[in-house]
Amino acid sequence: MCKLWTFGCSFTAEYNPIDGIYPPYENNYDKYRRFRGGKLPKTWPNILAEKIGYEIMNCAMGGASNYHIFNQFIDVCELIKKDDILIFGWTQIGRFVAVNTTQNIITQILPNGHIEDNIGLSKNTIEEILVNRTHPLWKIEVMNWIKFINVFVEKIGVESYHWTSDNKLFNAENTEIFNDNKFIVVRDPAVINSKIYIDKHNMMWYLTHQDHYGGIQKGKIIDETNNEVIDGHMGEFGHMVQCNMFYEHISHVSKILNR
Amino acid sequence: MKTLWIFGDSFSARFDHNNLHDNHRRYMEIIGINEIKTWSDSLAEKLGCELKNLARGGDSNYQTFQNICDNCHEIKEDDIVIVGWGLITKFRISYNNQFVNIHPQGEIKDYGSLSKETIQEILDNRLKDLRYSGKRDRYAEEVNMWEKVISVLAKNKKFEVYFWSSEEERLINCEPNKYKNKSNYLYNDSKEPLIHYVRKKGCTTMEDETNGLVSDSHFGAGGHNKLADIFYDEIKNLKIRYV
Repeated sequence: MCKLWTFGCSFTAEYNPIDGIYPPYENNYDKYRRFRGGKLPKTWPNILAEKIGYEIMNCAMGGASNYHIFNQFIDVCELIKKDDILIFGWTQIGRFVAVNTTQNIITQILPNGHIEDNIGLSKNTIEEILVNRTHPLWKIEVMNWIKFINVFVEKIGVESYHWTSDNKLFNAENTEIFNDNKFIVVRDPAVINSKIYIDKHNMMWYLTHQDHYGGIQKGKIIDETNNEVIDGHMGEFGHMVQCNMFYEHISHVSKILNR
Repeated sequence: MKTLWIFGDSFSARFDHNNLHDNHRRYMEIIGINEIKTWSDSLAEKLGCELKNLARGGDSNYQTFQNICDNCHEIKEDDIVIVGWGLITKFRISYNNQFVNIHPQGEIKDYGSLSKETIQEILDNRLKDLRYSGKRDRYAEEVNMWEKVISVLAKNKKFEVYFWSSEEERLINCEPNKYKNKSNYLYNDSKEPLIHYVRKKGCTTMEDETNGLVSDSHFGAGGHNKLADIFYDEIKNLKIRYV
């Protein structure tokens, strides 16, 4: 059976963290599962894999930086076989990694994220690095990895697709991106030609827009649970919309699936 | 004609004769030559390859890997790629709309909104932490990951790739055998950074060739010539054919 490999951050990952180790404390996903009567909905990678008849290999991790996402790919790169399909969900460019000198592990550092005080970098240093990383130059680094990945997969008869939750990284405003089927971006003419929408290139904004849900907000967990679980990740309906959008794109352009 | 691709830092780079470092200018004056033929020029001739040397003095490993990513579509079957990693401590920042590579021995100063204190803290974070000697070096691991994916790409595209590390004590040659026993490391039997190893084999530096008048540990013309011979023999010995 061919494999659908997915790489990315929490917008691709399975539900994690879950199962609080000190009850009655509950993580957001514990609360969401309780709200739904004990059963979590399938994530979009799982629904998509079922739809195209592939085995899912979801390598994504919540809180991952793009450095980590690229390493998720390297970790498994020799296991990828002909006719497999890869989907990369690239995250905020600002995120970076540093070695936590207390534990000798790589730490993911996120803008607005919790800053551990044992990393070995001061708060001021982290803030200055985060500011430096707002420069568009940092896009080049990720775009070069994408170039590498595309060359890599071409030789083994595999297809790779790229989307991002950070519309500053790439979006349909760039003609090359718009015309390249490897990129899953907001191409909906009703949206990108609109002068009203400010966030029109933001994939997460687009996927959670009420127009996809019969005019009411219910894509995110917070919407689905009527504010009971304050979490902006996709809920049941959001995962379905994301899967459908990706399926429409891939099934339309994929040479493997249309063979 | 196949191509010899070179990626790396100053130990791999050719010389920009329009923008020479003072040490190189002085060296050439003393030796009485107009140009320095680098090991990559001589090696390309020996291997019968066209040379594409994209190494640049001062580049960090991030920049080196980026150059590989940016050019990997041009690398063809049977080409030969040599990647020379530099110091792990080097890193990149964005400054004045370009990437600037920061060197641990360079001047520590403010770069716009990045203060010198921040630069120093980043360098400290990237230094080898002696508390974890014997454990995996996390920043070395980052380079090892790149080596892995480049090697798999080489296998798929059927080109040859070889790695070496010039002056870095945390990569390849100083690592435990279980990490370095890969066939595509040049002289993986060495237990010290390769520039020290090859000096013992006769690769002279500008300092050696000028009797100390030019204080520079980079190779002189004789050293470059010798290194080309050494790398040529090693590549022939390794006989890595991915076909």
